[in-house]
Amino acid sequence: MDHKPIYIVDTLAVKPAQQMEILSLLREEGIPIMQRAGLELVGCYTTSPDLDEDVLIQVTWKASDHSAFNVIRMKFVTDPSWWSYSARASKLRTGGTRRFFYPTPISMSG
Amino acid sequence: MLRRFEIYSLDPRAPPDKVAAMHASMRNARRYIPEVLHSAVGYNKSDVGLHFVWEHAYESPESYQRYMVHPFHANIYDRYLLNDCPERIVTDNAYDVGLLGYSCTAPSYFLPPGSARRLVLLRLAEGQADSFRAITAEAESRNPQMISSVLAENTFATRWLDGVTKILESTTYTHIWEQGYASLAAAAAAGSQWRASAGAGVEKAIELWYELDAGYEG
Repeated sequence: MDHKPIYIVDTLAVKPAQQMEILSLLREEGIPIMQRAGLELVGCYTTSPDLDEDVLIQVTWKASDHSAFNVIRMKFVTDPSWWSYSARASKLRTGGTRRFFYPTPISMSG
Repeated sequence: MLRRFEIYSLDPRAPPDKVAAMHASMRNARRYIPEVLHSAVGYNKSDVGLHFVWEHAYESPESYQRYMVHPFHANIYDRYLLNDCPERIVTDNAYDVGLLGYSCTAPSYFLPPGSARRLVLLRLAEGQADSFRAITAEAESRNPQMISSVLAENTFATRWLDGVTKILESTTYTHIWEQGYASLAAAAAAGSQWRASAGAGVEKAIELWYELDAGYEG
């Protein structure tokens, strides 16, 4: 399998009451920090808060390959604001995942 | 060679199956990333609030760099370790300990599976490395249970990106003294008499000991 580009899909589970708070945190801190480090934001989507279950917020990032991601990781891990952002986000989350995805022969962008 | 330790405090709320999965992925690292040598994990038995140790090595900075960019690293290890990963199962710790290591010419640290490690993380005062090396030699000669002893400067903590390029100015523990024993009981009993000889030459030190659960070397 060709491991490039890579799509990093963060799925964050939060209580419905925390939906807007985590989105604000992402918009004001998380996304700028990751963009400064070199990740490209592909999209940010949410499930409905009206389903009587945890809301899922899905943030998709893109990097050219794992070598590029290694440098990007170094940049965000050595950014003091990433540590404070991560601490605040972890208090809001009830669960979630981070998964890496790779192109397939049927990807729209090839 | 590059000798490397990752040392973590575990989140007390971490699901046991996730801890077991992290343990297996690190213990058996060479199955997934051939560059990882002499991989072993252990659970610290000292009263220091650090719980999990993954010790391993690399043949060269180049092989370490291949490990760093290997997809398994980002996909699996980061999942358990990175602060912004929802499945993180480790915590920040009060000791400022995470990644440590040193360069060496041969695997003099190597112990057979089932052995035990006693790991001393030290902040030595400026210019004290040589005199402390003499203290470690004396401790080794006094204790026939100590089957290996390596003192080295912790060069890795500030160079973790590629093992070569310095990206941080300093680290809390300047040196690593790793001792080997045939059993956990011997590692626990080794004691810290060396502290009296070291005096003010040691500004800070913590000790961990654990039995080695050694992984796949095929």
